[in-house]
Amino acid sequence: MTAHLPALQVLVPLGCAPLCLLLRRFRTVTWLVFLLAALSSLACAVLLATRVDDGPLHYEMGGWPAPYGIEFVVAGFNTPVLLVVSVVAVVAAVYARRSVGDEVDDRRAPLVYTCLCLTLTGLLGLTVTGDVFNAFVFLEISSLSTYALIAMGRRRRALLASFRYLVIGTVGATFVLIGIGFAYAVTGTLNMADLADRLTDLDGNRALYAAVVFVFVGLAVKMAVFPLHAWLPAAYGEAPSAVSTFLAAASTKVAIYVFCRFAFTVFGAGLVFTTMPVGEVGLLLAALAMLVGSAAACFQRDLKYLLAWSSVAQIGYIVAGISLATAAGVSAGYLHVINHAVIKGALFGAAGLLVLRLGSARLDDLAGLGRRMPWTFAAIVVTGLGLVGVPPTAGFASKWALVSALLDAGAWPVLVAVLASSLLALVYVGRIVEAAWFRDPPADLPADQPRAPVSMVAAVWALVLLSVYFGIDASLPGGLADAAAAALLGTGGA
Amino acid sequence: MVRVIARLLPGPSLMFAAGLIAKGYAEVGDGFAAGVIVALAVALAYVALGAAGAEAALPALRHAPKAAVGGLLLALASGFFPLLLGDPPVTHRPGPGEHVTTIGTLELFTPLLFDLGVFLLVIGVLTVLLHHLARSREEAAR
Amino acid sequence: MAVDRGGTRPTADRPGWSACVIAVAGFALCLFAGGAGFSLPWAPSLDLRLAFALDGLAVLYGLLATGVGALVFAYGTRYLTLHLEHQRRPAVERWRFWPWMTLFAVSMVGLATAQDLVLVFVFFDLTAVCSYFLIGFDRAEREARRSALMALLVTVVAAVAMLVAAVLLHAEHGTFAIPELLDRAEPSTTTTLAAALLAVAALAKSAQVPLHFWLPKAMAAPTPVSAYLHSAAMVAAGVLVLGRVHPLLARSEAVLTGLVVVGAASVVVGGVLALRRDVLKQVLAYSTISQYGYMVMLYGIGGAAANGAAAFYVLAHGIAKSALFMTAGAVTMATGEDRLSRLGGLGRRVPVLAVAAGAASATLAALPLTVGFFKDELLFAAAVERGPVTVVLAVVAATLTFAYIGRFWIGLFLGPARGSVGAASTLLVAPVVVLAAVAVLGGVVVEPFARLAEDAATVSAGEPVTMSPGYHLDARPENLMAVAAWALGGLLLVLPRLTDGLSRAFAAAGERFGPRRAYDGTLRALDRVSAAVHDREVRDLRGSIAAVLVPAGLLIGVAFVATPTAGAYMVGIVEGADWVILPLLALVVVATVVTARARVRLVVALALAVVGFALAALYALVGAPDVALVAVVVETMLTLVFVAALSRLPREDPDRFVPGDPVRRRRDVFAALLAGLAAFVALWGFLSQPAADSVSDEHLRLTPSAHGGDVVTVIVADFRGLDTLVEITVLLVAVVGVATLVRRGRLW
Repeated sequence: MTAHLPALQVLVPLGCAPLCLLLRRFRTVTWLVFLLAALSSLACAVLLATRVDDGPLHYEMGGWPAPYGIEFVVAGFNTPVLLVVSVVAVVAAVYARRSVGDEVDDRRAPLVYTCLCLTLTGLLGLTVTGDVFNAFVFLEISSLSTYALIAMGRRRRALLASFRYLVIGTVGATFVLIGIGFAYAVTGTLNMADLADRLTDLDGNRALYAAVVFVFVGLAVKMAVFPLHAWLPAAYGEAPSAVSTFLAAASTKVAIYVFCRFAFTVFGAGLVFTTMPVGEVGLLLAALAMLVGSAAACFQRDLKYLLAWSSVAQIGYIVAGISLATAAGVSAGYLHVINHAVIKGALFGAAGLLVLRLGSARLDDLAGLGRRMPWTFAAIVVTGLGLVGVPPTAGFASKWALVSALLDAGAWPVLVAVLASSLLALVYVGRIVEAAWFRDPPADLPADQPRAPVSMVAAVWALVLLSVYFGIDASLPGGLADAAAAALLGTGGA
Repeated sequence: MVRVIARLLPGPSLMFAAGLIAKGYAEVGDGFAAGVIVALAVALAYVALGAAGAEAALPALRHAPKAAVGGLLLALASGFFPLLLGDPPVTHRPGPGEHVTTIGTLELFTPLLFDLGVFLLVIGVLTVLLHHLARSREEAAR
Repeated sequence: MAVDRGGTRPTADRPGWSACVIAVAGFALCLFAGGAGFSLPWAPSLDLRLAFALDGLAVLYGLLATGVGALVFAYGTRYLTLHLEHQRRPAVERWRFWPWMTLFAVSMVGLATAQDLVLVFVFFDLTAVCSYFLIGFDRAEREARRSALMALLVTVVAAVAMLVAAVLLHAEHGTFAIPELLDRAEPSTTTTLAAALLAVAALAKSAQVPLHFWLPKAMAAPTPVSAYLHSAAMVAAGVLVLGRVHPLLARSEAVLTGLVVVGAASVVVGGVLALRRDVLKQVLAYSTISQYGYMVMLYGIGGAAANGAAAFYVLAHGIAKSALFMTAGAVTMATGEDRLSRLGGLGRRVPVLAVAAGAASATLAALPLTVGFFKDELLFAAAVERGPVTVVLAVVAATLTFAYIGRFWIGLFLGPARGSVGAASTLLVAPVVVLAAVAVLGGVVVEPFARLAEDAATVSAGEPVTMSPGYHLDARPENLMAVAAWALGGLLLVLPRLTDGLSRAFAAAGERFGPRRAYDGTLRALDRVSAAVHDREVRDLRGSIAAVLVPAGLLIGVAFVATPTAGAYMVGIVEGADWVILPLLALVVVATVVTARARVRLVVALALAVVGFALAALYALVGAPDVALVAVVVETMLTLVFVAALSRLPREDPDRFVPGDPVRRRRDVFAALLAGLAAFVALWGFLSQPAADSVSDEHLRLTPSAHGGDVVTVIVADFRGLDTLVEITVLLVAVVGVATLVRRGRLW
């Protein structure tokens, strides 16, 4: 059975989705189904991660050989992403039981789990697939289920947020499809490795350039790269907390991975970064994203919106690393993918605890809650420091890697943007701390409020502790990131 | 006149769809097209008779959610079962080159289950969508 | 945690005493464990180590931080209780104070002993974070909150410079370990840059001009905080870092000169402003700025003598200034007044405090028989070594110090009695007495202090330092300078009008052009930028779509302009069946134009349907009947659903369909045209190139072996069955989505 791990990785969550819908009368069972899907994907991811040292694993669907059928590829460049997605999925599943129970009515809760299963399927599928059209299919299913999930937020504004994402996201997905179509037209193949082979003798082909631009612009929408991030703040801000926790940690990260996969192993670094100015454009946009995202985060009144804007800036860090197209830069980008997923997951989880307690996560409502909810706020502070990049947190480890990569490449202006953005991060994290500890709680705060459920607090703290561990001993994520960078840059088609 | 046709059309459309599925692997047509054709007949019923009328005339419609989920499960099962036999998913039995029993153009092999699943899913989903759009409108009007 | 309200009798301040015990233990550790050290791997992949060593410099600052800390904490146990009582706050709020105080003391010792640049940065920031909570302890007061934030921002923002320096040095030398860095650093641009950045971080922490403005503001903190942080600890952290990396600074003459300039400016600005402050703690705050200016100047002078003098100065100043802050706090507690103009003649009523404060003031003013005399002696000696400019600066500095501290003490304790005096608690006076006793003891037996300073200076100078402070009854330049300073200082004291104008002018200039304004302005500008970004972002959806289409159009345009165009765009020929296709395409174009221009929703829906059916017909003509079949049935269904959905919308109002804003409308048209043009060019260029061999040929070949007659069906169900499997699941999402949105989660 172990030979089928790449397939099981994706298909178990896929099969769980209709099961959730079938068993929708039993809410707890649907939750269990999602939890099982997440656990099984984690088990697959761990087993796969231990197997890729000897080289990439290829898995051919339907028994048809690679360029004719669909193939899954598991290698150093995607095991970190598989691990991140499935770890976050497990945590989100543990977290979701009480959180979804509180924020979503009973009839819709099973639908949440159905869509979570599908999102998980889409993200994992995007990660393992070695076929460009199959990648688009998985992109679609993860996107569509995401739209549905966001629409299930408590407020009416969730519908608007979802619609906004739907429209922008569909434009992005269409771009990806057009790009893939162009690539297919000039090469006649959809398999990634085969595409890379056939592209080598297509120098100076205009349709190929168009393919690159379409695919990357479309992916940039999904990655929420500035200035194509307009959907993200409202989407993460309005989605149910368990959903924002999962999406913020996993979804943009997978899009970033797909970008890397296309850039380095399909189109090739030579075409993308030497012939075309993708690296320069990426660095410019990354620097802008850091500044704009952090500046806007300082201004937010709602904790979830604040965190979402901060994500825009943090994605800038990752994009900056990858745009360097050096081993150090890509490794730094991957490291931040891992660390930021853990940190942001914990922060959105903590915000969800506040929503559970207060009915909202407005900063004004947090006044003086620091001592009443010590665990929640301790989690926010620890991971918030990671967001700023204070040593010895995980955020420092990845920021340090990024800064040294930028130094090596001599990208001084971006370095300045990184530092400025970190300072702004200090401001917005400081605002949360200020609100929680330095303002007096409102007099009419009822004394006997519901206690935060243990399962949710435990889920959040699992991520917090993971982020602390990654800060103190960065060898595990660092090793994964280095291996990923080596796999992407070294072997080409893999 | 339209009402009568609307009442009667689902029957022939089902026949036509069955034909499409049966011929699917050899000629034009597959489960998806067949499903949409039946759904079109259902849609005509909704337009002509109204939601309440259509659902009274065709009581089978209320099983649409089950058809959708069941169809999906059937399709997924036909895709996944090779895993149990140690083959990659979506491997069809009998395999390439092996003998397949045929009844006319109808080939008895696993893609048939797959097509049936898709067929049920498409009918179910489209019917559910029609039902929601029509119902919510009636509820809003009330 | 028991909550005892302000009215009940306060319980013993257990957390405060615990903090005190911890400080005493730390003091003993620093005293007896000198020379100890350890180094553990921390984050090996990042090349970070937990390296600590209790060398001379660490012992000096460690003793200062823990010794003064223990006394201030003892003082604080009483002070805080009274403070909370006055403000009618529950005694349990101690728990918001002492943990930060203790953490601060621990970070100070950590900072003193750290041997790794990143570790230094961590502790540096940790002290800043603690100070934020301590300065803002009176959180009900807006001023306290603002001051806390200001102190945090100024010191932490500047500390980033230290991190940049660390990165620079690591890039150059491959290590963060300070001893190795000091070994390897050669005079170079990188070294100069790193040294300058380190100096910036240190100077902001030590409240040096022009980043000094946060310190007077920070006086909003409760007095124990000022007595600790703003005399011997937080501000000392800056010069500690200067001492720690001094060999590196000494690699660059420019950096050293910069230190002298900044130090001198701080001495003058702080001293002159201190001369006329009215609020007790403000006098002391400006005095601190001025005094740390001395030390910065000494590090700028460099060399063995100056390093020794700087180390000694830190010690003497810390003792004296802490005692004076505690004096100010005790006086305010006893009288309820905090201004010199409302106080006076306290000498007869609190004689012990008056004498102790006198000793502390004398130490600051460098009078004989106090340890302060030697600090100035060493300063003068170092100044003489350097040259005439520093001699003048040193005398001016000593003069100013003598004048303002004389005014402070005389104003408080001599003259006509003013203000009503309550009982001064023993615990508020005893620590002052202890510190004063130490200061006087040091004036008699200077040897132990000199040894401490020597060991510290040996680390910071990078060479063995010996110093022998002592009383010399002769006319050596140091003595002459001291006498001159006392005389001039006395003159300023007697004739205050001499300095009134100058002090006022400085204060006015500071208000007008000072860095405070820059700070406020920066914060406001940041606010505005943030607001502007936010406003731009919360735009309409069309704007967002334009934001996707325009960059994409531009990028594609660029990609096509950049490639050679000669022969790239071929005009094909029309033959045979193509003539049937042309009218169909014309129909598509017409329908598209109608869609864009239509003002009635139903027309839009039907025009779109026309596009769909025309394309389906096209598929049938180019030999893809399966695709055509699916296209027709799907298009029919879509049109039905579209019309059904449209009928659910509110009744349409033709006028509202036209966007009112002409600017937006033009932008939309522009975005659409750009995207369309780019798509046209892209498609044309792409169609002008020969198509590649496709895997579809192989699919065709394999179809019979997969038992199929129709390649499309086989591809969908077999070759790419997984795609289909996933895509049909998308339908499930559609059901879930509609059920959620329209029917609150009901499936039927």
